[in-house]
Parts: sequence; C-alpha cells; structure tokens
Amino acid sequence: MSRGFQVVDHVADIRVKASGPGFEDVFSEMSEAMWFVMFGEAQIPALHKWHIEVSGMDMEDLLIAFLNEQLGLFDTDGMVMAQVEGLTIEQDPDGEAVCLKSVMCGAPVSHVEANVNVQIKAATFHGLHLTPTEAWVTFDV
Amino acid sequence: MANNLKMVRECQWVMPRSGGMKVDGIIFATQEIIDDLQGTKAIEQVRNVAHLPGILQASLAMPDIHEGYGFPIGGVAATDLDNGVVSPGGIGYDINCGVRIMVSNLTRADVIKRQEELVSNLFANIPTGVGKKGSIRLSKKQLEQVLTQGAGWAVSNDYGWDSDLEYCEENGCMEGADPSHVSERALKRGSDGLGTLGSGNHFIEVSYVEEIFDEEAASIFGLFKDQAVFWVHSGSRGLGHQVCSDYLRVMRRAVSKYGISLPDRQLDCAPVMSDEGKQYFAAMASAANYAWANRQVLAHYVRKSVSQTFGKTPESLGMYMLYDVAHNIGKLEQHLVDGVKRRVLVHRKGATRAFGPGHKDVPEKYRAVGQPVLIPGDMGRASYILRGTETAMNLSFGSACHGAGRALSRTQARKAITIDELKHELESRGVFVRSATMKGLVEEAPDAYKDVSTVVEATHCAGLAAKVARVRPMGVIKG
Repeated sequence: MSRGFQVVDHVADIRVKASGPGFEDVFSEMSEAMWFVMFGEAQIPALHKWHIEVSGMDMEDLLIAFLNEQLGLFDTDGMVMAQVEGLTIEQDPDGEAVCLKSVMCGAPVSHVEANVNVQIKAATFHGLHLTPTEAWVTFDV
Repeated sequence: MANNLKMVRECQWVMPRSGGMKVDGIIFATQEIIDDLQGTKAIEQVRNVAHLPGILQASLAMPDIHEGYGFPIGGVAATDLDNGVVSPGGIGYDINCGVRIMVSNLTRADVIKRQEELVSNLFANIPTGVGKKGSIRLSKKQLEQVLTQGAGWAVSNDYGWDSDLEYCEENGCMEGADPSHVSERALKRGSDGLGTLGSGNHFIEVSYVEEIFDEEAASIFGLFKDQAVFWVHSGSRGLGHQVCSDYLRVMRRAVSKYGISLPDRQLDCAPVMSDEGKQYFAAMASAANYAWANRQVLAHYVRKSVSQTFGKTPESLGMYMLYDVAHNIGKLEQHLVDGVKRRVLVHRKGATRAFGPGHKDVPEKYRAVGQPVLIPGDMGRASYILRGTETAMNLSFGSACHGAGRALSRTQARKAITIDELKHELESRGVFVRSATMKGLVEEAPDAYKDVSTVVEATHCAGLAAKVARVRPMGVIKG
C-alpha cells in the first residue's frame, strides 16, 4: 500500500515528509506517519473514537499543536491512533487563529500487541516546512 | 576554512560577527571536530543563536557540538536580564536532563562477583522504557510540592539522605518555580512519572574508576582507582517536554508582539522580564525541580538495589553523592562581563555548568579544586569526571561539554550491528546490560556514539574543565 508519507533517516532525530492534495490530507498523513514511526506495521485496533480540537496562530503552529496534542494524550491516557476519521481546518471568526477539529480512532496502548519502536517525545518547529500539499517535520526522539 | 571560522588559540575557533549577528560565535573544538561539523547545520545554529536580542559576549559551543533544535547541542548563550531574552530552544525539551554519580566503597572486583545479579536488581527496581509508570502516584498538591521543592521533596519523603542535597547543583531546587504557570496537561504528564528512567539515551550505570588524572581532585571527590561508582542519567520526563512545547507556542506570539526578528522559529523567545519570559522561567524552574526530584528517587532505587545485592546498607557501602549536574537548563548566575560583575541568564543546551575553584556555589568540600563535571560517554567505552576551572569562568560562563553526541542515526545503528553481536561485544568488554527493548538497545550501541574521549580531550585542551578520572562501564540498564 502506498503511503502519503516518507520517514527520512537523520542522525539524532526523525524527519518525516508527508504529502496530500490539501492541508487536511497533509495533516492526516503526518499524524499517521508519527504513529507509524512509533508502532511500525503493528495493527492498532479501532476500539475507541475521540475528538481533538486545537488552535494555532498559523498553519505551522496548528500542525505542531495537532501532533503534540496526540503525543500528550498518549502519555497521559495511553491512546494510540489507528487512523484520522475526519479532520477540518477553519479560520477563527476573528481571523487571528486557525482551528482544527478531528475525529481520531484507535485504542489504549494496553490493547496494542506491539512494543513502541521509537518513542517520539515532541514534534518540533526545527526545519519545519509546510505548503498546502507537503510538510516536513522533525520529531524529537 | 568554510563558515568563516578562524582558530584563535588551540581548541578555540571564532566566527566573526556579521549580518544580523549581535556577537561573535565561538566554538571550542579540535580541528578534527570542526572537520566533522562540515555539512551539518550545527555551525549555522551557532550563528543563528548570535542573533538573540541581548546576547552577551558570544554565542558559544562546547566540543560536543552537534545539530539541535534552534540552538546546537552543546550551545551556551548568556543574555542580559534587562535587554535580553529567554529562549526555550536554548534549554531544550527535556528540561534539566542531567546526570548524577554516587560513589561507594565497593571495588571493581566486588561488582564483578555479582555483576549480573546487581544489574538484574537495578532493572527490577527501576521502571524503564516508554510509557512505564512509576510506583509514586502524586496528588496535584504533592506534585506542586515537587515542582517547588525539587530533590528536597524526595529527601523529605525518605527517598535519600539530607546530605544528598548539598551535592546537587542548586542544592536540587531552583528558585523561582511557580506551578501555576505549568499547564494542566504538563501536570497530568508528571503525575505518575516520578522515579521512572524513560527511554532513549537515559540510563543507570555501574562503572569502575579506571584511571585517575588528578590525584588531589580525585581524593577530594572521594574517588580511588578500581572504585565502583553509580550513574543516573534522566530528566523531567513528559512534564518537561510539555512545558517546552507549551511555551514555544507562547514565544511564537511573543516574537510577534515584541517585534523580535530571528533566523529560526525554534529560537522563538521573549524578553526575560516580560510576562511571557517570567512565566516561562517559572514553568521551566518547576520542570527542573521535577527532574531533580526524579533523579533523587532514581538514586534511592539504585541504593536499594545495590544494598539488596550486597546485603549491606547503602550507608555501610559508602554510597554518598559525588554530584548532580543539569545539562539542559537556564540559570540566573553572576558572571564577569566586560570586567563587570553582572547577573545574567545562562542558557545551557547540552552543556554542563563547570564552576571553577573558589566559587561560592561549589560545595565547600570541593571548593579548592572546582565543581565536579560529569560527562557520560557510551555504554561500551568510557565516561569521565572532570573539574570546573577558572578558564571556564572567563571563557564560557562557567560551562563545559555534556557528552559524546550521536555518530549514527538510529536506522544506521540498527543496520550496523545485531543484538547478538552487540551483546557479544559488550560481554567482551565486561559490560552486562538489561534494556526494556532490544531494538532500543541496538540504537544505543557504543558505535552509534562518537568517542567521548575526543570531546573530553578537546574540553581539557580548551581549559573549560580539567580531567580528574576516567571510568569504564560494567553494568547498564537502559529504557
């Protein structure tokens, strides 16, 4: 199966390139890439759905906030994403922020029959590149 | 030389101020280290840091310089309190990641007899690896006490000895912590992480003193040849990461609000005395205190494991603290700047404080020779104990290197050696290892790291710290 992301070797960290026809797809692909880095090909059961809402001062800020929100939930509640079921990005009414709403599907880590390959500790702004069809993110591991 | 680097004395290179740089860049390194940096972003990052408003004297890089986020790893920058900024990127995600050593009256021979049992006991008693929760469950009130009291909270709850605190940088508790500036998410991430090692390059290690370079300092530090010593390397866990992520977003807005122009978003910052700067500092100090409490609890588990193995109390085994150092931190310190004593904010990102002889912040016992500077290497070769110098006070705001730095990516490391080969290699070096995951262990193989001896020789050569002893690993547990 072809993926909309590519994990690039980096001496100290992990760089990921994700692409898609629009921001929503790029964000979804980057999210899937992040979980792929952590759990590889392991089958993540779709046992639960949960909602994520984050805002950012611009699209770059929003992407990093979206990824770090998922890492925070993994640390506190052990939630592992299987897939993004729906994701919308809208400009805040006052025009000063962008907001993301997504429906995530996955399972608590206790239901995942695989060890974590690599623990991603944070999505960073380092070397961040974002266009409507492509993103590069460096993850701190 | 590319990047306009000029060697001004042995192991010291200057990148003259140009463009938007507010000060020169200075890299302490050998020619070999400089050559290895070509083609990486590390040198460019030294230049970028020199753009920070209010940076004093120079953007500095220690001999273990390599590419980081915003700041290079090994980066040091002091900023003016009135006109300067505080940058979370200059402190890092793992706030107060650091190292401590406990000495003992055990010898290499004692450990060899029970090496496997000792490492197994350490592994059984210390939660390691991704998502591993600790046995300490903190209420919100208790967590806030940890964030304001640091290692002192752990000691007052029977995780250690009163004397431990005297031998921690800042006595294991930074002033200015205020948990009200730590987000609910960060607090939640910290509620069950205390006393856990984590993953990646964090470790517990038993080593023996292989060689002593400075007999006087070694004697003052309580070190002798063939002595077993115990290392703890960990930080502020998820709580610290969340504080950094939260405040990078705050700083993005601050950069716009205060009209700060920077070449790299990961350097985002705010004036030290702005609301944003003060709030970040209060949250960062809180995370730093969490890390000191964490290493204190881990040290307690180490003492328990060693006691269990040898059937003696930690006191009778002489398991006293040598020292505890932070290597990702921002500190308010007094330094001589252009001949005038000033309080400044020193960012150390992958750099160790290395205060020299006579400094009031060095424990009285060590004041004649300078602060112990603890430099971990990899799990197969060596690590070092150095002492701070007067030269470091003059050249690097009392800072030195912090470790070896990676040579191979994780993928390269996995391709370079199999787990069986690694185990065989470590056994042949007399090192027994336990790890939460075999894959993680291979990624931390000795050859995945640069040789720390190269970094330490450059540090010694530059005068930033002086070699006291080299230790060799015997047993390691990794996350």
